[in-house]
Amino acid sequence: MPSWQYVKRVLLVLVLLGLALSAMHLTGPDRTGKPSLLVLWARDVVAPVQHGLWQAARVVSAGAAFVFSFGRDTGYTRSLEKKVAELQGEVKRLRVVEQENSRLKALLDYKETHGGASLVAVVIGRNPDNWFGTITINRGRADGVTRGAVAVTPAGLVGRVLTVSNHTAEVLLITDPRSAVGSAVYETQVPGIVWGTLGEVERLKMQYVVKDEPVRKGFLVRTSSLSGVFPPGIPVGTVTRVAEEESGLFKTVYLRPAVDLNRLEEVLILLKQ
Amino acid sequence: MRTFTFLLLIAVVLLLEQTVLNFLRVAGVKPDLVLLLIVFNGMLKGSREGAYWGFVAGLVQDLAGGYYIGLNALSKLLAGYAAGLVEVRVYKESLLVAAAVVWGASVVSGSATFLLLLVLGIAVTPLDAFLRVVFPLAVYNSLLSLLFYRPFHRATFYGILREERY
Repeated sequence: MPSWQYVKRVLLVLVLLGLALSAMHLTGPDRTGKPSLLVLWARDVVAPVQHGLWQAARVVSAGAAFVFSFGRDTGYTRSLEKKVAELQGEVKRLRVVEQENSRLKALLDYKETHGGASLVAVVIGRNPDNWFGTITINRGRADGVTRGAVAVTPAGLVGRVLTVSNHTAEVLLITDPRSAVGSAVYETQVPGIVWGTLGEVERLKMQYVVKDEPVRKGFLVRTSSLSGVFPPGIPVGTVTRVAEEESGLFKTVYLRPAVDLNRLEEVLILLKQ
Repeated sequence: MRTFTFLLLIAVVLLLEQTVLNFLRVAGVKPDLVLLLIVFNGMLKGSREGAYWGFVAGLVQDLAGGYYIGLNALSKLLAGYAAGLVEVRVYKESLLVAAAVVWGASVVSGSATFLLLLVLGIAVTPLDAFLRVVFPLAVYNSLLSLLFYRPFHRATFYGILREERY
């Protein structure tokens, strides 16, 4: 027979667990929409310190990379790497445009895809844990950034804005397990949904891809015109592996993101009209 | 004073985790310094205080993030409590003991986070969770504990984290 003291302790633990679980559910981003004003205010206050620390760490990291690579990893090689990524993104984009032109799509709206209002934002922080994938940027409501605005680089899709304070915004990366992007394989136009797997892991998973459609390693995946959140035609990633699903109806396609999300320095925010 | 210093330490470490530690990733993970603080504290002060400070530090982390309030509070409460269980059982001045306890507490905290993510409907496969986050992070944290345990031990008994007695 357990003592009353023991029963009380177990009850207390259960009540605490119930309260914490309820709080977690009630404060999910899909429920609350945005964090409290106090949290947003604190982010604005901390932003300059965060920016300074981020920049300092970047400089130290670049110096360390130079030393440990025995001088091979210089600013010049990094700028070349960046340029290659940009050009690869450009090639991918041109392939998409070429295909769309060749099909004489009357509904091609170049302005909607690439020509809308946008602004450059600098990355000043990242989520503190290893599970989620978010970055903090130095632009906020005062600059016209709104929740849901899309973040890209010349190489491809980065994510979408999750929360906005006056001078900062938090961007949900496409590698975050909460992220879902309506996409299509460029070569075959077969649609699917691209999910993040883990914030820090450079791997995406495309599900609900019809089994009969051929998808091979190296194929390009881009945002679909059916996605209501992302403009169509933005490169999302490249196919690295194709696996059959147990149900037998679909296959799962694994992708490497088009953008190196672990080395982001600036992003372009496509402002909502 | 100790409470204030500990809270300040948590805030500074959180800021470092959002900035500097991103450049110190090894095997895809960055160290969890908040967890290190909690585990060291639990080892030196016992499971009750370990759990309490684990809860407080986790809650601060949750509030700073703004979402899923309680996720880190619960997982770090468990880590602090687990670390506190060894308080009276082992030779806690040994660096190797500290590293082993940090490894175990990191696994406890990571497993709890994984389960809570499942409860929240956030799909992370067990393979990804354990092979890419929980185990690499546990190893990274335990290696760092070799560096930080002695300074924390000194600060707790003779330095800025010492209890005031009147």
